[in-house]
Parts: sequence; structure tokens; C-alpha cells
Amino acid sequence: MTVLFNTLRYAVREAFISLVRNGWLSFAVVFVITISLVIVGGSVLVMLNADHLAERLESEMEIRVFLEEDLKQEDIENIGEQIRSTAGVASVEYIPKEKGLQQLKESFEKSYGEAASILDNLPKNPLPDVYRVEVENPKEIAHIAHYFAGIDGVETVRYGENWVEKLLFATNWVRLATVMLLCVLGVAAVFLIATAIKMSVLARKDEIAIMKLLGASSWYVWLPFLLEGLVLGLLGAVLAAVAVNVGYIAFLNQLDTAILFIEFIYNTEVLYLVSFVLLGLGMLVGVFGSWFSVCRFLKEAV
Amino acid sequence: MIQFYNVSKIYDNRVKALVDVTLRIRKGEFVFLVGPSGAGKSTFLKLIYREEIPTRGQVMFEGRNVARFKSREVARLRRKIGMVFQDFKLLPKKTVAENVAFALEVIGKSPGEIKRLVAAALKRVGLIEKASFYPCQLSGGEQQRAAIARAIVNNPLLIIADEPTGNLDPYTSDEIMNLLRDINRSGTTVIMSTHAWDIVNKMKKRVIVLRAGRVVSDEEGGIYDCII
Repeated sequence: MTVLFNTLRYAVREAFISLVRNGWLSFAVVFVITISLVIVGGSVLVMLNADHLAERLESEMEIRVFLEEDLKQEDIENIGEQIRSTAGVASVEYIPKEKGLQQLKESFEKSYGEAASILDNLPKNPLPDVYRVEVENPKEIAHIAHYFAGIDGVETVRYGENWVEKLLFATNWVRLATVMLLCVLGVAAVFLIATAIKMSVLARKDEIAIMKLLGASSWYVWLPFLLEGLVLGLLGAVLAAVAVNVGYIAFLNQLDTAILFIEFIYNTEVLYLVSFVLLGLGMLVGVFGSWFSVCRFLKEAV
Repeated sequence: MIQFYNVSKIYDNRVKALVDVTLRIRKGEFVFLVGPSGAGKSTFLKLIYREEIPTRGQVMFEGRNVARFKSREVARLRRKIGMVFQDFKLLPKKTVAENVAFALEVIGKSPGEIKRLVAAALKRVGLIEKASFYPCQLSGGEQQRAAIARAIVNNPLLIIADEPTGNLDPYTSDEIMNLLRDINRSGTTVIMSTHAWDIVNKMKKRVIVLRAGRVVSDEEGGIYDCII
């Protein structure tokens, strides 16, 4: 127990001495790790928000079935019946063109006040009769919409196809770009840490040789270097986590009033999650980098 | 304590450092390992503390084959061996006391124990007044005594000294030899390589003569004739 304690105390002391002695290199390593992890954290937040938005849009999505003009009441009911009996349809609402115009007027009056009266002067109601359809599963929406388009008497069918597809497309690109960037930065970070540790080992080469002759265990010899890598990674991760937290909250405050229709994830749990991921990644990169370096030296020594 | 069975060591560059060496060193012995440069003296010692592994044959320490040791056992082996080198191998940035303490720190001893043992070791080699000096402030003989203090501080079973007087003048060499003899008298086995024939002849101990990697003579109370 005391051996373990003494070993740890020694390792911590030596690790910090090395960190300070390496000075600028330590600084550069921490800097690169911070930048990398800020990018990771930022991308994760963008992706989480995009997923959140996509989910919301999907859940609100509906199909609007526009009917041809001058259909008989019988035909309209017939189409309504076909729509209702389609598998996957949750609810159907019929909005005749008069009601549609009424709704339009109300919303115009809300926005433009008196000017909405231009709608009264229309020679003829320009709106078609519409069926509003909600589906059970948003994923089937495209399929169902295409079926409706084939029904006799249906003019066009609209649903939020472009929105969701574009959003998912963008999300996928962000994800791909993040992964690629992460690979490049990850390799750079590991390489830099390995270099820093190599410098530390070289600076203490004689000491290590003597330690081995004096019967120091491998752990005793190499623990300070692993710890040094861990501290470098952790330092970078802490800075990155702080930057991402502060940045995201500032971003939300800025946009809170500007974009009302996009709802951002605003709860601390998300930030906790991202912070923990960053800390974990930082430590992983740190230990991996120093392990990489130490293993090369271990192969040289018997 | 130590047995060599048909030990040969051939380095990668095909230099035959040791050829078919078989011998035994008992507990408490004082053994000189002599011979011209390149005769295999350092290799012989390195095989004992497992800095090298034999190409053929076995080196046994306390009945166990050293080559089969895992790294943890190698560390444990070396804790039983105190090492003294021609170039002292002291750390220049540590004081004498810190250098001696280092041997205990690296094996995880507690600060209190370290303090006590270091003081005792420095007293034994007569260097207690210079405990806070740095190696560069000491004479060669004093540096070697500091190195010996480090070698004995953990109370080892065996002292391996690789040409410990190689860098010292005759008077200082005598001092070091007296110290090693005292250590041996207290029960510690000592194996010392040298090519200083005058020292060997004065001490009248067991002498193993190596030449081109072979043992050419091994005598108790032997004389090292430089013409051999």
C-alpha cells in the first residue's frame, strides 16, 4: 500500500516537472487537443440539434391533398373515403375551399390587419378543396403521398418532403465531415503527445537507465510518462469543454430572439453529456499517445 | 548463489564475448574477474544482472534461470544486487544523499525509512559530511564512495563492481578496496572486474581469469600475472 502511494506520489511529481520542462511543447499539445475537441463538441451539438429538429418536423408533418376544381360532391366524398381507408393514415380532415379562404383571411388579418381586406375583392375563390392527412409513421409519408397523387380527381399532393430530406442530407454531411476531421486531428494529437513524451523520456534517459539498474519496476519507470500524457489530454479536454459550454450558451442567448421557429435543445443534460464525451476523448488521446511513445522505448530496453 | 552452465554469449555482430563458461560463485565470496579489455568481463557481469541474456547455456541466481525472468522478476533480482561502475553513474542534478535515496525511492520505500537508511549508508562509506554536495563537487574517490553507498543502501546480497577503480589513482583505489572488503566481511558477496593486477595480488582472493571469452584460470588466493 505504501509502495503504491510512494510510486504515485513520485509519478505525479515527475509528470508535472516534465510538463513544465517541456514548456512550449506542452502548450502546443494542449492547444491542438483543445481545438480538436472544440470542433468535436461543436459538431456533436450541431448534430444533436439537427436530429432534434428533424424529429420535430417529422412529427408535425402532414399531407395536403389538393383536389381538382369542379368535382361533384359525390366524387369528393369518394376520394375522402379512399384516403381514410388507406393503411397508415391516422386522421383526415376535409377543408372545403370556403373554409380554406376563411382561415387564410384570419391569418392575414392577424399579420396585416386592415390590408387583409384585399382578399374580399377576389372575383372567385382561388383555393382548391383540400384533405389534410396525418400519418401514423412519418417515415411512410412519402410512400402514402405518392399513392394519393394517383387517385382520380386529385390535382397535387404536398408534404414537407424537401425540408426533411435536406435537413437529413445536411446532417449526414456534418457527421461525415466531423468524422474525417476527427481522424486527422486525432492522429495529429496522438502524434504530438507521443512527441512530447519522447522528449520527456530522452531528457531523462540516463536517469531511466539507472532506475532500471536499481531495480525499479516498469510501472515505476513509465507511470510518470503515462500520467504526463493523461494530464496533457485532460487539460486540453477541460479547456475544450469550457469553450463549448460557454460558446453554446452564448450562441443560444444570441439567437433566442432571432430564430423563433427553430427550437434548439436547451437543457444542461446535453451539455453535461458533451462535456463528459470530451473529457473521455481527451484522456483517451493522452494515454494512447504516451503509451505509443513508451512502447517504443520499452522495445529498446530489455 | 550464482551458477554458470556452459554459458556462451555471441552478440549480433558475431563477436564471441563468452565461450562455454561453467562456474559457481558461493554466498559470501569475494571474486575478482580479470583479463584484458574485451575478454568478456563486462558481459559476464551483465549476464548476472540480466542486462544481457546468454546465447547458449544458463545463468542461475539462487537456483533460478535468470533468462526466464519476467520484467517484474528482473526488477526484484536487481534489488538484491548493488552495482558499482567505473563511471559511477551518479545523477548530476541530485545531491549525494539524493542519489543514495534514489535507490530506495525507485523501489517505493517510505520517506522515513529512506532517511534512516541513507544516513546509515553514508556513514558506512564515510561521506556523511558531504551528504548535501553535488557529484561535481566531489573527488573521484568520493564519487565512487557515494556510488558504493547507493549500492549497499538496500542491504543487497551481492555487489557487482565493474572496474570500480578504473578511474582512480592508486591511493584512492586502496580506499575503495578496503571499503569493498569490509562490505564483503559483513556477509555480502562481491564480484569485481578489474585489470589492476596490483590490487588483485594484494587482496589474495579468488581470481577468475578470462581471455577471449574463455575462463583460462580460476584459483582461490590467486595471483593475476599480467603476462598470462
